[in-house]
Amino acid sequence: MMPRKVSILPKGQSAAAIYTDLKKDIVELRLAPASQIEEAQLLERFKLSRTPVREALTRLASEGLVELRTNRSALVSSIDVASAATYLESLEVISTGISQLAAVRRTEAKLDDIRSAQAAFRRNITENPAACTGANREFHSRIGAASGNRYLQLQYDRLLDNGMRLANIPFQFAEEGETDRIAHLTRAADQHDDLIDAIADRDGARAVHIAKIHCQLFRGRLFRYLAFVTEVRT
Amino acid sequence: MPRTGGTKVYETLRHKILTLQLAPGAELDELALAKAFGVSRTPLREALIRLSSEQLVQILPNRGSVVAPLTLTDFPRFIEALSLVEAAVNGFAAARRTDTDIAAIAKACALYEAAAGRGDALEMTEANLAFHHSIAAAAHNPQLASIYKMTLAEGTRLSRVSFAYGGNTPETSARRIIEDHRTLSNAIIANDIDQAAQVGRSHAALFQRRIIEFLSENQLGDFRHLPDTSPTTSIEES
Repeated sequence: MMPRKVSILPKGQSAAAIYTDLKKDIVELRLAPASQIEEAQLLERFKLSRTPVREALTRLASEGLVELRTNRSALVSSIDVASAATYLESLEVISTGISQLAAVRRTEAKLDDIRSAQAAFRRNITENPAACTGANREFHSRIGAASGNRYLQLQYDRLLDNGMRLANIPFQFAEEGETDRIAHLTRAADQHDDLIDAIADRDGARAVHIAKIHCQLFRGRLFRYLAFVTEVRT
Repeated sequence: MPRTGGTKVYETLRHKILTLQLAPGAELDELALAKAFGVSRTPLREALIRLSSEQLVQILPNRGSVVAPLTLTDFPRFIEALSLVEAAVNGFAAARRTDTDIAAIAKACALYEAAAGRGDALEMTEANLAFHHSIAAAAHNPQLASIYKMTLAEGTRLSRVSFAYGGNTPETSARRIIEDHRTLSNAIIANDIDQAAQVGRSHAALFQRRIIEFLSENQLGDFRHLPDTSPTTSIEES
């Protein structure tokens, strides 16, 4: 008989811990899009009962990262062409709105938060490229926090979580090469600096403009990945 | 999401929260609710988690759950979010609507007008939601539709407050809402993206005015029966 699993965490917190860990695995693509999530493995891994595991999966499903199925294992949400296209569109709507509001409302403290996230992002380009996606998410999330609109901030954070999966796809792309990757990330960092300047100057219109260009950069990198073909000769 | 055990519970609770049959801030007793629905606690928890993910329920660590409070402090920010999202959704709907979408929007528009004709506030609330959901479907962007639906849910609760506790009768606001809905439907049918987006912004502004009107109503009349304590006598006259 299996030993009864006893959580060392209080009720609620155990589900929250699984949620956080699973989300990280999903956005960093360790759990592949469209792959099955074996509940038995999760029970084993987290040493928990079924209830907190189900709760964590329900939360992730509400946020669009997991797909629950009746009487079958849950799936990691797939990233198909259609959903990527509408995702990029939604991101542009919310990120331009939020960048404009941040320019209007930012306090000095929020501006400092944004600047320090940007410093971490730039540092990671050479020191730890794999951490750039997370650092980029943090930079944008802090702009969301500076917008002073909790409704949009919540939606933006969720979009950013989902976007990390898209952003991480090209990182698995061996052909991109070190030089290309650094060039891309440096360009992103330069745009971040421009965005910070616009927000610091309280220039909403310019913040919108840069946020749009920044979305195009993201889009472009993904499309370059999709368009890449290795010529095979036999 | 598929129809799991919690789906029915989720839908029923969500409807009760949106229509204020479950009041903002009300405690949600898990055991009592599970009993009322005739389900175990697992599907009930599942429903509460989904609702908390939509910001309609707050799950308090080890202290049960409550219906999310409806605060006025963030009201201008809510309108800001509604305006942005509604303009975008309407714009995409105008750009992408299919014939099927147009038929669904026209039907939902007519159903709202019929409900307004009957003056049933609850029916109007539901028909209004259905109308905006039909536009969300026509935008053909699931992520944006989901953001919009969450925003509309909050708006629905605010709207219900103004009907449930105020003299803001359905009739007084229906005329202006119907006007907006017709303009919006026409803009979407005409493929007019700018106009559709513009109606989104003005519809959010209309909603804002309606709530402010509700807040500025004086339910007790003009207080004529109260002694006048205002300093009307100026120094020169005394």
